[in-house]
Amino acid sequence: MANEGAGYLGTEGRPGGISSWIFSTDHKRIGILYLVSILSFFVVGVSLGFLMRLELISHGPTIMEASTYNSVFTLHGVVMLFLFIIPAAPSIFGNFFLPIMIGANDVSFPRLNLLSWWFYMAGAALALATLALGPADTGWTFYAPYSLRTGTYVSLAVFAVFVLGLSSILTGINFVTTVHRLRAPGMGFWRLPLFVWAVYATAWIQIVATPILGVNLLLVIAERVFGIGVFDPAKGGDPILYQHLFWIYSHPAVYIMIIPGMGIISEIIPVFARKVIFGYRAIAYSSLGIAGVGSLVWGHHMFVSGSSYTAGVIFSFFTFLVAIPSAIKVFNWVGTLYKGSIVLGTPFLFALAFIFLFSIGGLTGLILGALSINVHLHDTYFVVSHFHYIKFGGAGFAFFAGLHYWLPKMTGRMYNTKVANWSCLVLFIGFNLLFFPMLILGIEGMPRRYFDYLPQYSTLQIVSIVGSWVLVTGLIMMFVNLIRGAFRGPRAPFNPWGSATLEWQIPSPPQRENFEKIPEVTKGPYDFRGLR
Amino acid sequence: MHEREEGRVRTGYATYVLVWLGLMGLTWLSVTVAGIEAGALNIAGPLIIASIKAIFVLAVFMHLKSEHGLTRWVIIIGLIVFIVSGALVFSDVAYR
Repeated sequence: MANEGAGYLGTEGRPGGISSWIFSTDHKRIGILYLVSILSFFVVGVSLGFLMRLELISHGPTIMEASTYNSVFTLHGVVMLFLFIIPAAPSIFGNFFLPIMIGANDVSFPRLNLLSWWFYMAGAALALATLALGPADTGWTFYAPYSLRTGTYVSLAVFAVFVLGLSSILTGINFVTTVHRLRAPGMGFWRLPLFVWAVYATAWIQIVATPILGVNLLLVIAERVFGIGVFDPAKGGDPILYQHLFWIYSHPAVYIMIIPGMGIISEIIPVFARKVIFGYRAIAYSSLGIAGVGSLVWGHHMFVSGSSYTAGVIFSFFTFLVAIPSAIKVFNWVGTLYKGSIVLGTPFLFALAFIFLFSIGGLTGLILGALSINVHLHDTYFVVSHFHYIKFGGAGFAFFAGLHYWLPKMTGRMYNTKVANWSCLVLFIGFNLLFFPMLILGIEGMPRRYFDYLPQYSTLQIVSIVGSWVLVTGLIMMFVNLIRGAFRGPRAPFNPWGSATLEWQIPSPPQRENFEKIPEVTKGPYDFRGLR
Repeated sequence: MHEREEGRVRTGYATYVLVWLGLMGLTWLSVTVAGIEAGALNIAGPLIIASIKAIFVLAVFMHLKSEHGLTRWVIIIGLIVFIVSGALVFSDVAYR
């Protein structure tokens, strides 16, 4: 990478090579390890999604059989959720920047941090092993009782997710402890950058909710191997209990994806509006609010599963409630932009795209949260479109915004901003072409997870497929530009955006020890006085 | 039974044995209660006993009684999530 020999990327005084990375306990190097591995799995996930769309270009089997299609969408879900979007922002940017942003030289438990990455890689290897052995065909949710009976490698896929969960818990423990114990003098909780607040709230979800998924998945394995009857109705078990235990984790997991993304946006907006962020405390509290209330809404995935009407009403209420802290953030970002001296940098363009796409995702979520409408839209393309607007349009675009914002700091080099701006536009168009038609298709009744469709859905299916081509073009543009910039771009100044947070006050790339002397913090993270 | 060592409370072996015996006794009680037909209490009874056992394990074997600050908060938040999640699951099971 760029600036070889400089900063944490250098090899002076220690052996180089791959072992200096995969056995490093430096939080910055571990952040880079996550970056490389997570983006590699992202490419796998995108390829699977691209093939799924391509299969639908004409009626009947086109490039794969129905059973293969089932396996492909299962693996696409597992890879994209558990290997990309859940760990992306916290593990990459959290690892790299959280300690620097609070004025610390590393996380509280550096070895545990490295162990988390190794668990992540082990989980990934197990998940991808199913690709060779025979991928599960259950969908990423592994719903019982089908997951208990299918002959595919469900136990292996489930165990892979279990191991990935372990990695996530260890990362969460590390971050919570780091924020509590390693803040620099003067860095009170109300001086924490909002990205740190977001990662902190996320870490609590990782600690509290992930073990429930772990237990649930072990029960699936126990049921498949030993034939116990917890979920199998034929043995007196309750398949709806599986759904409860699954979504108790997996809905908060949506917030594990999106809250750090919101933290990234909260960093970018004030920097590019050259204004103190509007409603700092409200945004910080709303992160905790989303984490808290978001843990109470899982039942909205189960409105038509056979769960009780009473539960449906309660979960519908909480679902509407979680919109409030989410909206607080959006209103505060817009409030920050109002009368700001806006600079249209690439990270800012991605942030704007995020706000637009996340708003569509959030509003379609409210539609799905309404009990009566959900009956009509459940398991249709509308749901697929909604969660892609949240997870890709929201968390994904926020992650891309973060990449463009922080890559000059991570590598010490700058990418081509013109190409980056164009790639943002192409991605935005491609994304909407791909997923907006799915909203209409869903309302018209197109069911999800089908490898074929009726003739009346053809036009919008084709539009969506063309959208996938445009989206992939944008991704290729973006990643080629970023990789080229990281290796061959011009040297980046230490603070190219004029940011006020601590990570921009040290060299690019950062030195091995983040701070020669732990700084004393005397002002807030969005106080731009004295900066250009 | 407790010794204070470098600011931390050290639990003696006698306490561990006593608590272990208590846990065994409560396990016996769980098995006994399971054989009694008591309607809705068939669920509540074992859950209460299990909760008492969990408190013993957390407080003594996991040394929570001698911890303070963040560690206690982690457990308290975990317990709150467990209780609320359980209540919401029962809002389905009880009214299905």
